[in-house]
Amino acid sequence: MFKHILSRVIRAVITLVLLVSFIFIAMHYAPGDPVTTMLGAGAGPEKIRAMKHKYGLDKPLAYQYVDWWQRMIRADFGISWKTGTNVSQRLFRSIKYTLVLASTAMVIATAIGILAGIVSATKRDKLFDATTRSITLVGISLPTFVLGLGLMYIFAYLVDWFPSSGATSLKSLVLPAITLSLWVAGSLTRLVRSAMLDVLNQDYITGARAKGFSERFVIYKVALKNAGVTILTVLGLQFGLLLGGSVITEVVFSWPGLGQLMVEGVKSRDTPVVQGCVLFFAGGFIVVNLLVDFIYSYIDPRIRYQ
Amino acid sequence: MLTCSLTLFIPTLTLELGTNSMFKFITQAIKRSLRRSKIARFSTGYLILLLVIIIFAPYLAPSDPLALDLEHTVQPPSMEYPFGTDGMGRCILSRIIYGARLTSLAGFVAILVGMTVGIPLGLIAGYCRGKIDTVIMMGMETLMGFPYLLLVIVLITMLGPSLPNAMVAIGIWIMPYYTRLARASALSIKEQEFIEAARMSGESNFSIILRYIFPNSISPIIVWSTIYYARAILMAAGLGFLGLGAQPPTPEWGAMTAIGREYIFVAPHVLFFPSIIILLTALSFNIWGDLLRDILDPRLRGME
Amino acid sequence: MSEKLLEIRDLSVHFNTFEGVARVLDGVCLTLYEGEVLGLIGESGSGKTVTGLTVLRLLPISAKVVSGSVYFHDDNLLVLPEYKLRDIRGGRISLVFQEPGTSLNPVAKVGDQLMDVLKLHQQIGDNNAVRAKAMELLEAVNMPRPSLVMSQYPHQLSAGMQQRVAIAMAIASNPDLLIADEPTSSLDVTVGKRILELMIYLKEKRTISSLLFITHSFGIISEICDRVAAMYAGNIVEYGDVYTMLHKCCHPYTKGLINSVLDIDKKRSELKPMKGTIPRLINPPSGCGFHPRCPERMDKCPVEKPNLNPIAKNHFVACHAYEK
Repeated sequence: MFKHILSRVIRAVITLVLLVSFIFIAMHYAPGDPVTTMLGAGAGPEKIRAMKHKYGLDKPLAYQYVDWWQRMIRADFGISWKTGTNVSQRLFRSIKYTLVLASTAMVIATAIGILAGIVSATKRDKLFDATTRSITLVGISLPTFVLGLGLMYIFAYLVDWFPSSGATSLKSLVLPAITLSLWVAGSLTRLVRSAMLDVLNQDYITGARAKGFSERFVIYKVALKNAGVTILTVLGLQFGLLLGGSVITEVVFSWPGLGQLMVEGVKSRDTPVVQGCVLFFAGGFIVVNLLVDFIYSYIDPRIRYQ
Repeated sequence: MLTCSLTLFIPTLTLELGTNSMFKFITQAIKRSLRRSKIARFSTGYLILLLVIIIFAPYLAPSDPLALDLEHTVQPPSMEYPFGTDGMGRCILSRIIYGARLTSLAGFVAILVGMTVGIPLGLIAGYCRGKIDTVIMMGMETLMGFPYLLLVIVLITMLGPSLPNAMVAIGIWIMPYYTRLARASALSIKEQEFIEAARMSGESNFSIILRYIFPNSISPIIVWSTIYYARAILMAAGLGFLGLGAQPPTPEWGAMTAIGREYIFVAPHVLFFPSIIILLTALSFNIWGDLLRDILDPRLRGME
Repeated sequence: MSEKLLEIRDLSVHFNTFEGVARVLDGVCLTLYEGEVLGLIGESGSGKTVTGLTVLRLLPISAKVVSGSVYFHDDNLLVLPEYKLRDIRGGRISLVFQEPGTSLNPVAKVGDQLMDVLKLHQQIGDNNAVRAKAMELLEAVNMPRPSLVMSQYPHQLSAGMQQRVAIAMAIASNPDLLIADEPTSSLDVTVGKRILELMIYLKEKRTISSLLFITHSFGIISEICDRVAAMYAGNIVEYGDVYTMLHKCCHPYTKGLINSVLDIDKKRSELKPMKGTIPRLINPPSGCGFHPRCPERMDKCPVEKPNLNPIAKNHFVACHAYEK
């Protein structure tokens, strides 16, 4: 098992390194001059040169690259081109909100997805099956922003149960969390359903029934455990979808998280902010996938006992 | 992974039946599904309607989508403005009609971009195998592994927010899927005897790929393109909503929802119409995507 | 004369497939007596596995029992309520599958699986007693290093060992009837022989009391069975005791089966396979299912389906050519 884990860790580290380098290169060649953004279009060439020197933008590429890495290790993302404030501070402030939103939504989505998936796989009622399929189809067809806006309209306006924006209280978490989770839940339900169906077709399920175990035991103790491995893999991928969706959800509900920060950064061509956000998001994604890998290698006895 | 087995299925089916009968098989199966499902008929009807709207946009739109009418801003639906007006007095119906053109074009360009780079890469990877294959596929997998929005946002940051840039960014996002598809096709086709024969008669690899492998991979590419097209359109709308794609005053559906958001409590119709149309379009495409997947490999029902 | 343990009366099972309804079992009649080993022989697709599965109602959703009954002692298993059926499954009737690798739960340790079965059907005191009994079972099936195997997963065992585990689980509660569905077919010949010897040994020791042995090989039948029933296209075409079936069989299909096997004692230069293949069960042949391939076909055969008729004491044949 250790060899397996080690290879995964190495892979993750390599991806991270490539990612950081890629961000550096991408941002360096992005159109849009930070200095012009900060000083305004009409600034004189003297001022421009001074600014560039101040931010080390006139040094050779290699030097900037090394400097980039040094700053990464210190988690120093520089100064926002737009507001002049320290980017790292803003990043750390915003990430709390995103974490809260993402984890809540993930928990909801997983709970719904797994339960609904199991039930729809085991209940052989044609009507129920068809209903679930339609619901999940709508669930994954609805773009997150449409869903979010729809929910906002119904629950924050028509009935006024929940606030429509901001992150003032626990109540304001409700709408964004539900919006974010529903899409992933729909997708997860379908995947869990087919994973379970695959497992339920296996010989060892018939074998378990032949030994006299109750249907409940067979489904939850045998089938689920076997499907668990597939489901876990899928969960990792779903988390990626969730991250994407969280950006949109944050914008819809003005949730002050990393996603909203990032979009604002892109719109105002504020590269350091975008860099920081992307790195945090992507880094988080890599870490989560690594964790899922760990859990997976522990649970699947075929890997654990090579 | 799961989708790989589907993509492998289609090439083998093509080889067994030949490209012509493959199409016949698919069209027959489609007709059968349409007969069975009311929902399928509805979504087909809707998509045809959409096509009509796209083609005849100038004749169908009551007003110029960009024309301002500052005296009648944010009006509810009326005789003159069947879907009402938005914050600048523009006719929402006309904007939606022209938006259909923009959105469908955006999706089209995006998958074209994805295809142009992705397919050759995939064919090469599948045909040549070895190190080239590993390198290409590793690159593609990394690309695919990333949360989609992050990837696109990074690209938009590099290129700048605008609709054309969005199309390119989406195209790059779609590219690895085409690569994987083309590769699977190439893998199964290259085992055929006529490839061996061509090689022995001295044909260059490049020529073989162009003349034999590529034409035989077309059917799965076409089928999956419909699914990717739907994804591209939705992504374009999403970017438009975020303000990272089409910029105002462009009448793109996503951008229209962003405008609508500002009036959500005052004049919900500004938000409602573009949202509904996005929803219906997405639904119809997804229903079709499901249909196609059911036909091609019923075992994969409910996947992806 | 021993009692009837299992009696299958006129069992018909249909499967819903993409292309139509397949009549997999078409009026199967079978009797198994206490203490005997009954062999059920047929080619793939004859319906023998389905017969075994139907006894315990383990058929997939696409299958439907259209008519008939399965009597175990005095109960019709097909109409028994679910909770009583669960007691019988694994308790009084056990099943051993063809592929041991896929019939065991891949994510549970062998020891845990054994103990679960024991705890389910027997009231044995505490965990330690259960564990001890599980070890006993492994020893009873001649498992090498039983204490190690207890903590291993099925994929870590060889196919032969996996099958031993399956057998151990099947005999865990001293069932009245063990149904073995081609237990040696997917194993290497030498390994399969060992398993067969194990089963013979367990039968002699009375650990297995009665056995329904499903197979496609007359070679195996001759080693372990007391009586044999031959099955074709969902019907029992002939049955009798093992000596009669091997040397004095009548039905053209049974004869064909026996002749298509090489006998090392007889000198023969070539194999004699039967003409044709088994019929598709969606539109089975009319009348007698075997008539398209039968070398002894008469005019009556495509028209009327033959019933099982006694030819001699304890020898029944379903063939128009051999009606008295």
